[in-house]
Amino acid sequence: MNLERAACPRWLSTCTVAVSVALLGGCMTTRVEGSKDAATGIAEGQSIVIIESSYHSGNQTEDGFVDCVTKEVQKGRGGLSVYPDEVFQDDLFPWFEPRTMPQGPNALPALMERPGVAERIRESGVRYIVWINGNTERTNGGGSLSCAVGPGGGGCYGLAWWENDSSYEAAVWDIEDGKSAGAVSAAVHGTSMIPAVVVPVPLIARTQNAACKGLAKELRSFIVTEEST
Amino acid sequence: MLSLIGAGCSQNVQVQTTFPEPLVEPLPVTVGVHYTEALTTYIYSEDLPADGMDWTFSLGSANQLLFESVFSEVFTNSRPVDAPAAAGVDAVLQPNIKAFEFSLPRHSRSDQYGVWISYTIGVYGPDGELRTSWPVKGYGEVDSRRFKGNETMKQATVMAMRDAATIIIDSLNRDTAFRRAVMGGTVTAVEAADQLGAAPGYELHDEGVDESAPEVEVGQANEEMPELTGEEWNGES
Repeated sequence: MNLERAACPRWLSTCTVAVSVALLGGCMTTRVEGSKDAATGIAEGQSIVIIESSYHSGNQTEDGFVDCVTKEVQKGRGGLSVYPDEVFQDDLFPWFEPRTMPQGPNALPALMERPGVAERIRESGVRYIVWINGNTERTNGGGSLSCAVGPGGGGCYGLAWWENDSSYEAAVWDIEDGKSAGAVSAAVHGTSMIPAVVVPVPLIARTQNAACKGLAKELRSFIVTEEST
Repeated sequence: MLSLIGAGCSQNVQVQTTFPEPLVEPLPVTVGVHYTEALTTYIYSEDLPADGMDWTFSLGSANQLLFESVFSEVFTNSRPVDAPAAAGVDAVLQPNIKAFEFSLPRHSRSDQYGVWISYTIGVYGPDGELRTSWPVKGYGEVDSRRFKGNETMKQATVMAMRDAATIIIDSLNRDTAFRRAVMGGTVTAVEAADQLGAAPGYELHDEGVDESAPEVEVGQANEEMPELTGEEWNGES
């Protein structure tokens, strides 16, 4: 599965600037991909848990991103049931702490053999563990913007811009089968700018939010669609 | 007005939390746990003039809750005792904090608040003789955008305490000198020296730990970890 699209407002090319565009975003390119290793599917009463990969392995995923994906995959009709990650980690303490969490699906069998672990996971109804990796970085920026205030009023002049890259991956492990089911990823590149002629007009590319929504949508489809691709 | 500006501000991190019960098979031993006043009233303070801020961390009661939660599940029997020597137990454990460090996002050039806590767990025989002293260094970090105010630092402290608990549980789940000392065995000087070199706090995912833990520029340890000789580790000092 592969989806790429550019989300640049058409008005940008004509340089039409109005106050109303402050509500619009900057320019973004989104790429969402999924790769299945095995057939998936989820039954009534089963859920998934979404956990941020360990910072001990160098991962720096923002906590807010995990919260966003968790919220998005539950939304609307056909939303997935998500078991709270903090409750899951407490239930299985200390085997899902940043230092001890399994580093790959190969570690699942040994983990399930630990006393009480398989029973506790079964009780929780969790079928899939989704590991989130990645982050958002500012990659470039420039321009200048200056503002001044005087007795007669104030204003800003100039143009400031910057680019953000949001790149995330969700690795899906099937606990029932004890192996990897595959992964989905979302990469969003966005350019934000603040042009100002008296009034600054922020045109913000919310790359992290776009990556969250793209990843969550793909993740939902990945798990629900039963066939292996 | 100037004095108000120069006064800076204080951040008081009161760690009041509970810890989950570990999911482990208990070791068939009865241990006494000696909680020292230094541990149960532990407070760490540090002034950061460059940030115009002083930080105070109160961990006392949380420390006791942490060890009660761990030891009550990892041993078949555990009870508090008044001294390192106690009758009717296989061993007495005496946890202490040896050092506390923290970092702000500015110091680690990241978005993370970080906390390191170095504990030592003294393992004594029922006669009060020191069998070994096991160092445990817990690390926790939390995204600065996750919580407001000093709640982020509090959560990073809780993460460091949970990490320390994880290391203790893992050390007791494997054939370590710590486990042997608790079970009544002896620890040789060679084993003790090996453990010091291996830094037990970083045993599990040792390939990534040192890189992920940012270097600390401030928040220096309030008490340096003493260099232990083999004899001290062997309980012969």
